Amino acid sequence: MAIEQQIPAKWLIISSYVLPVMVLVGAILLSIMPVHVGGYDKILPPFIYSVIYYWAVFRPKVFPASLAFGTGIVMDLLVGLTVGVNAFVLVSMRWIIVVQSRFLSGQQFLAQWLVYGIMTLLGQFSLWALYSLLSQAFIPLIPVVIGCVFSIALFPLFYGILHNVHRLIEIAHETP
Amino acid sequence: MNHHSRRNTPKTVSWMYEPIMQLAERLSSAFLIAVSLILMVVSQIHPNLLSETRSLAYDAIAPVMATAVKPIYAVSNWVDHVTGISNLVSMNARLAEENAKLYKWYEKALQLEAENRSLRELVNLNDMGRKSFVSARVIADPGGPFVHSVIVWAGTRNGVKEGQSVLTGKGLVGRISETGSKASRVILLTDLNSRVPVVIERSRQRAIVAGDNNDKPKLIYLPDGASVERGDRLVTSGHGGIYIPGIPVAIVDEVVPGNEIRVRPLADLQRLEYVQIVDFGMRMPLADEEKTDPVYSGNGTSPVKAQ
Repeated sequence: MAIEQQIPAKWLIISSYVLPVMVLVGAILLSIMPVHVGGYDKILPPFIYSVIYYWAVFRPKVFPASLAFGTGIVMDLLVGLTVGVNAFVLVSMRWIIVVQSRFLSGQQFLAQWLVYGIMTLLGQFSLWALYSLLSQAFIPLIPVVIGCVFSIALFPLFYGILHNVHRLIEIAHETP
Repeated sequence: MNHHSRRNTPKTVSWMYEPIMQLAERLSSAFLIAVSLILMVVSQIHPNLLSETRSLAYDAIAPVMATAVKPIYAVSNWVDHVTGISNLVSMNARLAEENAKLYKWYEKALQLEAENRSLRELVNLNDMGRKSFVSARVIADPGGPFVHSVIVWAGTRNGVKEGQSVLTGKGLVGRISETGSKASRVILLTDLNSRVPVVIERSRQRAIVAGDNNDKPKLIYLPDGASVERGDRLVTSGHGGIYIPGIPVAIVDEVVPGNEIRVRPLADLQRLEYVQIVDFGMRMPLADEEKTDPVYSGNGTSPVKAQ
């Protein structure tokens, strides 16, 4: 018997609303966690992109543009960036992916991974260019690239977690 | 006829629903992108406009992060402990040698302290304010490649104020840039917006340690023909009124003739766990001075607000 069949329908529905929020909060916390591993603090992979990408492709209503905007503002406030920079990048990124969601949702995992990689690079380079422009200084690019590589490498892990949450949402909303 | 139209109704609704939803999606995204751009321009022109909101965000995240970092610090300390065991013999020999050297310096320091005290009394030198401090735990390291800062779990309710110096046992870490009631943000020495007036201990020449988001900040505004050597120690000069004179800051790491000089902060900025926020009772520079003086001006996000 599958585990979801043992959970009462009420809890399934509650979980389907709570879990996506928990994953989002987890990704934000991971992005600001002080990890004392040499140099990690200075690259901080953009984990939030995995969350945005997955929901934009498979269930845009779970992560609407307003939530991407709110997440961006929270990140800007916590990180100390000019308010609006992250919000701009996250909403734009989500929009591009949603427009292509019908095509992307039918693709194999490897193709998804590749597109995610391109979107991550695009997102982080936009952030880098905007912040460099606003601060009128050349921000070192290497930590940005390393952060992207980490985020791309860890995409399968986030994809797996989000895929399970997605499955739970579908079961919860199919349950009479 | 009626039957036919009734059968087609759901299809018609679906056919209409999808483009409407797509249009709504596009409009909301376009609207939010426009709002983001407006916010960006506004917060660039008035960096302090949203400082209250930032403080609220720090306060909101502080209790969560303070709990979340405990296991991370525990693992990190355990890793240090395990890796430390393998180096125990060599470390012991090094420490014994270092201890012998330090003992000589201790004797010298006592002698100099007594001499310093008597000379201060002789010239009736005004002391640089009272000193009080708060120890605080680092609970978040949110900047990544863009902003070099940390959030500490101490705020206005603990007496923390903007502009106060943040130190570890080894040297200067940075300064408080924003305060909430429970948590505050510390701009690190390496951040793009950090400028620390220093003096080279050996030659007493003044300069500025300027962060540029590299692990090793630059040493700028050094007088022509100044003598700088690799290994020179830099301490705060006290100019500008943010830091008191004599706080150890960095040592010169790279000197490229005719090119830039890079320094290495004495405090280990990558492994900050606890810091000391020190109130030296210094007067903060005026807001206008801050905006125009290259020593204090920051191009970016959150310059220190004058009190």
